[in-house]
Order: sequence, then C-alpha cells, then structure tokens
Amino acid sequence: MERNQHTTDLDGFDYMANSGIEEKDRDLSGMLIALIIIAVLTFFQYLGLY
Amino acid sequence: MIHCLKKLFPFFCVLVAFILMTDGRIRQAYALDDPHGLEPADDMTFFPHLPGLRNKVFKNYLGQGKSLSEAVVLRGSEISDGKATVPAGGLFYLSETSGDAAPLRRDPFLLLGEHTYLVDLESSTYTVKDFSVKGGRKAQVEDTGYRMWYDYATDHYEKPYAELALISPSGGWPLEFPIASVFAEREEIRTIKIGEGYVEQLEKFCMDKEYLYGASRFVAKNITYDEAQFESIEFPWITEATFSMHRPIVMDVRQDDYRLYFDKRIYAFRRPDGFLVRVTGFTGGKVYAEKLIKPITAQGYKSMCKKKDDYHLTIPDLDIRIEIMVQPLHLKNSDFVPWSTGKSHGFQEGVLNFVVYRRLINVRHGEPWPLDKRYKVLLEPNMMTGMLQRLLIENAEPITFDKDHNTCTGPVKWSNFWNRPAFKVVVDKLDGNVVREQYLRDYFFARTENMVFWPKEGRHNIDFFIGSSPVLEPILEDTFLTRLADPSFGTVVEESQFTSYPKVISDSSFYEPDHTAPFVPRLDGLMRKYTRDRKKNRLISAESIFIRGSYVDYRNGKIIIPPAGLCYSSRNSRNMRTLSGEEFYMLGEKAYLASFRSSTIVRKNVHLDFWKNQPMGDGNLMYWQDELLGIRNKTLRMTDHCYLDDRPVGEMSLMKYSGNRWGAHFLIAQGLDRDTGNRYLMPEIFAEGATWIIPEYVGSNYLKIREFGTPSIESFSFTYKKPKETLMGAGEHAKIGAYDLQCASIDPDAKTVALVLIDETGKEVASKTLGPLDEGAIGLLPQYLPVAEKMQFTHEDIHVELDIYDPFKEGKARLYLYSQIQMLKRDTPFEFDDRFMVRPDVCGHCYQLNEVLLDNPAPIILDKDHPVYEGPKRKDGTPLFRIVIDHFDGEMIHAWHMETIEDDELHSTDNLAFRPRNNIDVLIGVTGTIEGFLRLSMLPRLGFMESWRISSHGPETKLSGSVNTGGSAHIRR
Amino acid sequence: MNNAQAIAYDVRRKSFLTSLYTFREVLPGLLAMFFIAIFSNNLAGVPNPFTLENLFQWLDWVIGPLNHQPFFQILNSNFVWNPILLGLIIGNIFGVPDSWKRGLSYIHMLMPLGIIMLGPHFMIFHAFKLGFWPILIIVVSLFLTATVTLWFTKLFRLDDRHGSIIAGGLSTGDPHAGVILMPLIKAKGYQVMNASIGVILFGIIAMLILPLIAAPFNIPEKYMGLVAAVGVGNGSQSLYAAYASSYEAGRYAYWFDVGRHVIMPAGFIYVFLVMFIRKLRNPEDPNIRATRGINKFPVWLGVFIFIWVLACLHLFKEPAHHAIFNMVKWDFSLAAAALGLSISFRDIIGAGVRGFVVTCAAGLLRIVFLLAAILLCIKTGLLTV
Repeated sequence: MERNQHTTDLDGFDYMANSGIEEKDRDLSGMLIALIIIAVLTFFQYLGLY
Repeated sequence: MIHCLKKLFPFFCVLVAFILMTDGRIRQAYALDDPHGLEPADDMTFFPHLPGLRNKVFKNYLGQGKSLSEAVVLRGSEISDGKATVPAGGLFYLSETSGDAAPLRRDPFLLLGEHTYLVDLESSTYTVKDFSVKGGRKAQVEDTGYRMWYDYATDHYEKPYAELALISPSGGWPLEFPIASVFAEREEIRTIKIGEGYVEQLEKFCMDKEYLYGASRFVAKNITYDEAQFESIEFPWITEATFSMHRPIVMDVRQDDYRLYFDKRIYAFRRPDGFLVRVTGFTGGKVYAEKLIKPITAQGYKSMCKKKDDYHLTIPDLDIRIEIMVQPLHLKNSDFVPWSTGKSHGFQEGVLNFVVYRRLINVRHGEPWPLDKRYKVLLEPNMMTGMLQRLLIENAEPITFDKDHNTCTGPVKWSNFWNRPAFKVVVDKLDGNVVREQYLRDYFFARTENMVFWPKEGRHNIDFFIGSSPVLEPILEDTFLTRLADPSFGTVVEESQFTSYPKVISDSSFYEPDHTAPFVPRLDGLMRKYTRDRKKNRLISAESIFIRGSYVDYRNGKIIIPPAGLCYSSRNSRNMRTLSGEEFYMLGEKAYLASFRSSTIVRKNVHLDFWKNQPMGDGNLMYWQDELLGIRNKTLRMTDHCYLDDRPVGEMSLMKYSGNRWGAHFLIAQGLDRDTGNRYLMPEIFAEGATWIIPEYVGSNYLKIREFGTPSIESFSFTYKKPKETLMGAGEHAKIGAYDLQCASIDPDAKTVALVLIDETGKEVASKTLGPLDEGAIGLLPQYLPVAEKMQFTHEDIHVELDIYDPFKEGKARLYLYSQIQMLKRDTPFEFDDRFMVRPDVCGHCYQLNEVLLDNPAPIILDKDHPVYEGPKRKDGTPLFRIVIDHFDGEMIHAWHMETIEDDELHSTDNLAFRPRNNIDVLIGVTGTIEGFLRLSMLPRLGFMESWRISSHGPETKLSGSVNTGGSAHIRR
Repeated sequence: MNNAQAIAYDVRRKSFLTSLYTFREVLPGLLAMFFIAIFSNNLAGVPNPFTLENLFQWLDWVIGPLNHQPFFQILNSNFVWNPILLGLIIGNIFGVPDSWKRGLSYIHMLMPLGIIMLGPHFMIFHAFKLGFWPILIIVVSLFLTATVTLWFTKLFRLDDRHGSIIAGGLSTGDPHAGVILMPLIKAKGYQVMNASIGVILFGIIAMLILPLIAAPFNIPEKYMGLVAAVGVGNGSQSLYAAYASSYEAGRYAYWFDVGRHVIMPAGFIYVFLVMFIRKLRNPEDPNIRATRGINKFPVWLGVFIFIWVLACLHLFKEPAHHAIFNMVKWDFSLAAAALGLSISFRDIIGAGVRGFVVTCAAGLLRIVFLLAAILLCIKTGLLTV
C-alpha cells in the first residue's frame, strides 16, 4: 500500500491511526487531563479565585 | 408586531417633533448653508465602530491618560430629485481628546488615524459684545461657527432665569449654564447668617448674571423668557496648532557637549537661566540655529503664548522642534503632579532630556488642510482651559451625490507609507427623495453596514455619525430620548457579564440603576399626560418605575432587590409648586398638590474627599467619600479636579436620593478672580437658587467646606378630589368637606380675605385671614413658603387657598377649596401599603416638591419559589404593577417581565431578560429621573443598540462618556 | 493502524503514559500544532494579532455584512475551521515532515479531552425559556434529521462513516459536530472535511431559499426565527435567513438558537449509538464501516455524558463554563491543526459529491417537515403568536 505522506512516516508510524491498547491509553490520558482541568477550574471558581 | 411598530416609527418621530414644538421648544428652521454648531438630522445613523476610526488611551509626558477618539460626521444633508446635497461644513472628520491637549506636555492627539503629538498652539480670546438670542434658538455668534443656544427658561418668584450653552462648530458643548439678570449675585450668599442643621427657607434666591468657566465668560444684560441679552461673551479661540506626526526622539542632555541626532549635533551649554541649545551639522561646523531654552516642567502657566517661546527651539528648515524635559520619574509624587504615574516612552535615565519632535504639520483655524485643499481645518478649544479639545476637517465646498457621482473621498491622510483618503462616503441607490444604500469606507478599506436600516422605505437624508467620540452626547441632547425609546427594535436587553463576584449593594439609596438596565419607555398603567396649572401652563405629569442595585446571589439562587431598590416615581416636567393648582399622578390616580413643608439643611466645616473611583472589581461603585446632607435628601460628592494655571479646580456634584444628579457639576477654585490678571476665571463659591457652597480650601483631592446649604422637604399634602374653584363675597358660605366655609370679610385694598370654618353643629372650629397679597408678597410667591402659607388656610383635611394670580373679582375673592387632604411625611409608610416608604424629593433651587418616590425599606428577595412580587398597592388593594420572574436558573435570569393591570386588562413588558441578565434593574416610563439615568448611560446604550439590531454579542469594551474604559464605571456622577 | 505499529507499541508500553511518547519525539509536532493554533485563532493568553481569525475579521469588514452577518461567519469560520484550513494549506503545499508525526498523534488524546470539556457548554436549562412546543420541535427535528440522513446514506450508498458525519453536522446544525463524531465513528479526515463542506454549502443554499419557500405561508415573524434556527442552523447562516425574512425573525432566530445549541450532544450521541448498534448487529458486513474498531461503548463518551449531566444540574457556574470553554478552544485549535495537516485536497475531492446530495436531500426534507409542523402548531394554537 502506498504510504500516506501526510500521516505516515518512514518507519510506518501513521499518526492518524488509532486503535488497540494505544487508543485506550490515549483516551485515558485525555480523559484524565480533561477531568483535572474541569475539576480545577470549577473548584477555583467555587473558591472565588477568578 | 415589531414590523408594525417599525412602520409606525416615522409617525412616532413626527409626533415627538410635534410635541416638542407645541411644548414651546420650537426648533428653528436653520438655513442649510451653515450647519456649524448644529446636530445631524434626528434620524441620522449612528454606528459606534469602524476600524479606521480609532479609540485609544495614550499617556502624555506627565503620565496622564488621554482618551482619544475619532469620528466622521455628516449633517445638514438633503435629498431631492435623486440628488443628495451636503452643505459646506456638513461632512467632517473629528478628532477629540478627553480634557485637552496643550503645548509642552507631549499631549497625544489622533490625526486621521495617526498617533501624533500636539507641540504648539496659538490661542487668544474671542469677545462678542451685545449679543442676544431668542428663546429656543441656536443663534450664530457672528461668523465664528459657534452658536449660543437658549435651551429654556424657568422662573422663580415669577422672574426668569435661563439655561444656555455655547455650542462649538462640531455641535459639542461642555455644559448648560444657568444665568439671570434679576436675582442676587452669588457673592451675596456670604452675607447670610444662618445656623447649622435644619433651618428656615431662604428668602434670597441666588443666580448670578455672570457665568465664569475658566477661559470662557458670559455676562448677561437682560434675561427674559423670550430673549437672552448678553453684555459680553468671551470664549477661547485657537488660531494655529502644530502637530508632530512621529513619536519624538528622547535623549539625555550632556551639558556643554552634544548628542547626535541623525546627521546633526545638538549641543547644550549650561547657562544660569537655562541651556543654550545649538544645532549644528555632523562635524559641528555649520550652525543651523541656537537659542536659550529652559527645561519644561509641569507648571501650566508655561503654555501661555507669551511664555511658551522660552521653552523650545524650532527650526522649520530642519523640520524639528527641540524641548528639554525633566525625566517624568522625577516628577512622581511632586507637589505639582501628584497624578504622574511613571515614565513615558523614550525616557530611560538622566534627569534632563532633549525631546526632539519631527515631521511637523502646522494647521490654521479656518484654512485648508495642508494635504487636501478641498477640506479646511477647525480647531476647537476646551472652553475651560482654552487648549485644543477637538480638531475638525470639514468640506470647504458643498458636495452633491447623484447617480453618476456616488462617492466622496474624505481628506487625504498623512501616512508613513502612503498618503491616501482617510475615508470614502458612498451614497448608492438614490431614488427620488430617498436613499436606500449608503456606507462609509475607511483607509483600511473596511466599510460600515448599510446606513439605511429599512431600505424599502429609504431615508430622507444621508446624515450620520460614525465613531464613538464623546461629543456625540451633547450632539444628541435633543434626540437621545427619542432614539433610546425607538420601538422599531423592541425592548433592547443587554446581556450581563457573569462573574464570580457580581455586584452586591446593601442599600440602593443614592445609587442609579445599572447602565445596562433595559429601558421600557411605555407601559400601559403608568400615566404620562398633559396637565395644566392655574396659569394654564402645560405640564407633563408622568409616572415611572425603576429598579436599582438589584443582583443575583448565585450561591443561594436568589434575586435580591436591596432596600430602596424598587422605586415608584411620580414627577412633572418641572417642580410642583404650591398655590399653582398643580396636579400629579399618585399610583395611577390624579392627585392635586395642596402644600408641603420644606426647609434648608445647612452643614458647616465639612471635609470632602475626592471621590476616587475604586470599584471592587465588579464595576460596582462605592461612594464612601460622600457627605450626606440631611437624611435621604442629598449627598455631596467631589467628582473630579483639574488645574488652571496650577490652581486646583474642584468639581462637585449633588446627588439626589433617587440617584440622579441635581443640575450640572459645580466648579469652584480659589484665587482665579478677574482682578489679578489671570487668564482663567473661576468662581470662588457656588450659589445657585437655594443651594450654596462656601469653601474654606479647594485642594486637588480634598475640599474643606466652610458652609453648605440646600433645601430639604419633610412632607407634602394633596388630595385625590379635584379642588373646587369658587368666588366668595363677604358673608357667603360654601360647603367644604364636613364643614361650612364662611367668608367673614374681604378687604380688596389690603388684599386680605377673612375666613371662618364652621362644623356641622354650627361651631366655629378655625379661622384665618388670608393675605395680604401685596406687592411684597407677590414678589416672593409662589415659592417662598412663609408667605405662601399666608395665602392658605388649612384645618385637618381641609385646605383653602387664595388665587394669587387673579384674587378678586367684583368684590369677591377667588378661592380654591380642597377637601380630603392627606399628608405624606418623609420616611413614613405609604398609606395603602406599609411595605413601601414615602420619599419626597425637593428642588435644590426653590424648595418645591420635585418628585414623589415610594421605595422598599426592606430587601425584596425573589427566587424559584417566590417568582412574583407586587408593587405598591392602591386604595383598592390592587398593586400598580407586578414583577414576574418567568425563568431563573439560580445564576442567570432568562426571562422576566413587569406587568400592570388597567381596566381589567393585563399589560406586560417584553421579556426583560431576552439576553440573560444577572440583575433585574430596569427603567420603565419616562420622567426626568429616568431621563437623567439615560443621559449618563447614553453612549453605551446607543452603542449596544447596534449589536442588538444585528443579533451580535455586545462589544467587550464599551464606549462611554470618555471612551475605552471598559464600561461606564468611570463616568463622573 | 497497521499490526506492526500496534505490536511496536505493545512492546514499548510501560504504562498508559507511553501513548504520550517521549518529549523529544513529540516536541516538533506539538510545536507545529501550537504555532498553527496561535496563528489561526485568538486564544486566551496569546496576544498575537496576526491570526487567521483576525484576517477573516478584516476581510469581513472589507466585504461588509450580508443581512447583518459577516461573510466568513456565514462560511462557518470558527476556532475549529481556522486551524484546519491553515493545516490543510501547510500540509498540501509544504507536506508534513516525519519529525512532526509523533507529536501530531496527540490529536487522539486531544479529541476526547476537548469533547469532555465541552460538557459544561451545553446547559439544558438555558433552553427552558423557549417553552414546551418549540423545544419539542427542536428535539424532534434533531432526531428526525439524523435518522433521515442515515436513511438517505443507505439509499444513496454513501460510505456510512461519511453519512454519519453528515447526519451529525446536519442534525445539530453545526459542522463542529462532524469533528466531534470523527473519533466515535472512526471516520476519515477527508470524509469529515467533505461532509462539513457539504453541510456548509447546503446551509448557504438553505439560507437563500428558506425565506422564499416560507414566504407564501405567512408564518409569524417570531416563528420564522424558529424555522431559520432549526431549518438552516449553522449560526450566522440561520441569522442570515431569518433577517432576510424580517428584523423580528432575526431577533427570534437568536432567541431560539439556544435550544438547538444545548441539545447538540444528543445529536452526535444518537448518531454514534445508532451506528454502533448497527455495527454490533452486523459484525461481518463489509459495507458497515462506521464505528468499526470500537468494540464497546467508549469510556470517555461516558465521562462526557457524566459531565453533561453535571452541567445540567448546574454544577458549573458561568465563569467556570467560560474558563473551561477557553480551554476547549485551545484544545480543538491544536487538534484541528493536526487534522488539517493529515488531509490532502485530493482525498477531500475524491470523496465525491454524493455526500452533498445526501445533505441536500435530508436538509430539504427537514425544511419541508419543519414548515409543516410549525404551520400545524400555529393552526392548532400550540405555538402562540
């Protein structure tokens, strides 16, 4: 298959591909960061810090 | 429905115009050939923003911020037969600075979009002798382009005093000044010996024939209701101004040595009285010029024409001007400039610096703009300081737009890269007597929207005001109310900013409603009608409701209206006078004023701090520096200060309980009297009507007041029953209430009437001789209460008064009989609803009843469980209005309205939270109080109307009286 | 992802943080995203005035508003499209250096991150002010449009991933939703772009024809606002259509728009669920590609729904909502930059016009149903004038 030059490097790493354990890990990281940001911003607002 | 209203709008305008005309404020039909000093058409288009018209705050050498703004204005246009014509002076570019721009201060100024500096001014005083203006007119002051506007006259003791304004060619004026020729001069107030606290009414009424305002002076000869004659009018006149188009180059002075300025050397040789500055060629061989100049400091007198030459070396051939300035840091905390905040651009170290201005452009008043001969320049001074406040570049010849000529380019702007027209007016689709498309394009090629909002109908002129220059406020003086009340776009509701710290006010007394509060000009159930007094004067009696200081406590999900926050107000178009048969409305019902009790509140040795506007991050102002004058009467506030030749000028305002200001700001300064050769004149004391201030000391941030007095009102009495007019001869009887009134005797010579009141049993219960209505008494009526009371006979709920205008006819006395009189005392519960307190307000001039307010003494709390609150109840127990919260999520109010029931019909406002709000402040109805609130918030409101019209979000930075301050918190109240 | 790549990851994995790679590997890609983001949008904390957003704003000023709406707003320029556009231009003209690619893979972390943070943006109770019947019309329209679009997708034999994105964008009235659906549907970037362009183009057609179609029915101005907000959607496009009808309709389009806005998540969750269940029922059908690779309900979508529920319980006050939304803008600006870089113009064009045909068919049907429903409600007095 021809390499998609936009997304795939010479090592065959396709940055738009997303599946398996790696997908789950990425989802988990995103989720955690999102929850942390939401929690911190909400908490700070409750404390009246902004 | 709105569509119908839109169609009705032209009729609405005609109606308003008709009302204004029949109201005695006849608008003059001005000759089209001179639009100077006149405003654009009433229906002109206002757009607050166009990228090429800048609004900036730049600091000057002293660190003082100057709000600069630009606008393009078109006025006096006409359309006929597919042609639009604009007279000479009709299309102008306007640049304005807050305060003024003076030489030797490195004051910034915008010039067709360029950030420039004013470096020099030539100014003088223009004097006109024996000038007169008819009532309601805007008379030209010779051929200066200025106009004197005789706004209106009112009377005291049946003698006239007038409010006038000197209008600059742009249409701007700083304030309306009161003046008279028949009353006591202000200095006479010093002769009054009076105690402290509540004292009797003053007989003396002060109104000077001379109005002093820094560099302006107006001396009245004879003021009548129809005409104002002046002995002299003096105002500042700028003939020439020089701007530097670039930032100056700033470099240290090295004494007896030189600094290189490009290929020139600038030497500074120390001399006992300054520096000898010499400019030579690169090698020092050729001397271009040399001059002894003194370093510039902050003292204002140096800007005087005869002094300022000592402070600069200007070499026109080299296009430079050299000044020596002291490092601003070294001015910090000095006695002269306590406001200096830090160093301005270019100053780094050293104490004395050369400041070299280049790219100098010189403009002369009334002469062509140097880059474009089609336009000429007008220089408008600040009327108080005489320094530059506005620069106008206006068309020298009339302009015509038609099918073949749909574009007019504005004056050519100076640019570092490309001199090009600063703007372009495009008038398309001229169709008979209307235009259907028109816009303005700036030098960034950005254009406005179509200035014709309803292209199908078209517009009958092409007048507009684009930009947010504060001069719009005086320009719109006549029409702002009509514009804000325009029903074409429904009730305008501005969205609130939701923050973690919304404003919280513990008591709304003396506060005004939020500047974004929706304005509902009309709600059925609130009266607004013409009434006539005994002299057949037509007066408007109107009611209004306003809510002030309300807020959402989002932590508890409640809407709070603090004490004094929900107000009902009833007012007439002027003060309600006793003995004049005046009517007003009381909760929708007509009431007839009988009398009132007012006095003077005097305070001595008052310390008044400068009100430094320090809102707590919530835009919510605090007024802890206020000095109260009586209880819930008025409060004195020092709102600002400035310097005239380094003398501090204090500016104060007298706030009424309603949150409205009484009259214009007061200005007083010490030592600026005319006998000492000052270029500026300012009164040392303030005395207008019955309000006066005698200062001990006027400082820049503190005033010590030796004596201060103003009226206060304690109670008023009225009846809902129409008084009966009767002619009674001696011995005649009349039925009045439960009593029989007998006229015991009449003495037409002594002008007295003896009356006796007899009860049902035939027993005499009271008697009084009304009068004498002699010359002395007539000279003090109707305002002077001790004399007025001599013409009135009051017993329990009976009140009889003598007609003071036509007292006797064929040996009989003309009397007015009032029955079922009731008295409402200040700070007592309202008779039909003890949830509301009575708060009458008094006129600061004349002691008469100004306004009847009812407000809540306890906070009102609304939430999801209590979404309705009933306003003050009438005699029959029904409320005048209801506040209904339709949808509130605990933080944002999404829908609420106010409703009234009249003749069993429910009348409701639009949704007053069409865009989410965090308070329920509102203005409903039109009275003087509402008008005052709207006047303070005029510019942000008009600016927001544009966002509302096109359903876009409101601008983040709002315009206001002096632009770009992020709201209206700074407006001097 | 090819198997080799998956195996390489499994070998390398130490914890879930391995998916973030090493700082050295990702730095170039992150910087590329960062710079595309800050030159695309005016983002909180970045004073850069040279942004695509500002360029469009200036062009809007030059062109002048059309029915009060800025031209680039009508084209739906926003904080997602600007970086995609810039990324597309850079990627197609200069290519994407290999060194960026590890960093650009953060898009997969940023998408769930951004979508979860969107939760507080959709506060259902903001719409209660509209009243029961308008809300019902908005809700029914959303589900019906999505269903009809998916049905047309089948009928026109369009790739179901492509069709799902159209269903999301068209039913919610916001092409944003397409990008949000992308990771849920496992759609290709070019399909998202093609679908979104189609939705925007249809919006332009709808905004032009809606006032003409509706004119004969004499719909009250207020409800013309509702017709525009629901039948056209896409913010400025609906305002354009409403203002073309009358001022009052424009005012009420702004008013009713909140209803369409707050239930948006329901639209993309619905499309995902339909496609997900369909895939579960037909595990072997090669024509069913949407959600392929997703074996169970994504946890992060559950988290989003949880946050959305919290928002509906008013846990987030307005200042927090705005602060979080600023972070959403940052997040999507970065992710959209990576997305833009990944797509070639050729692929977008290659996706054909069939998607656009589906969009037009479903959109027009929606307008017809909507007009009929509103006329019926007015006739029966359910919608009071």
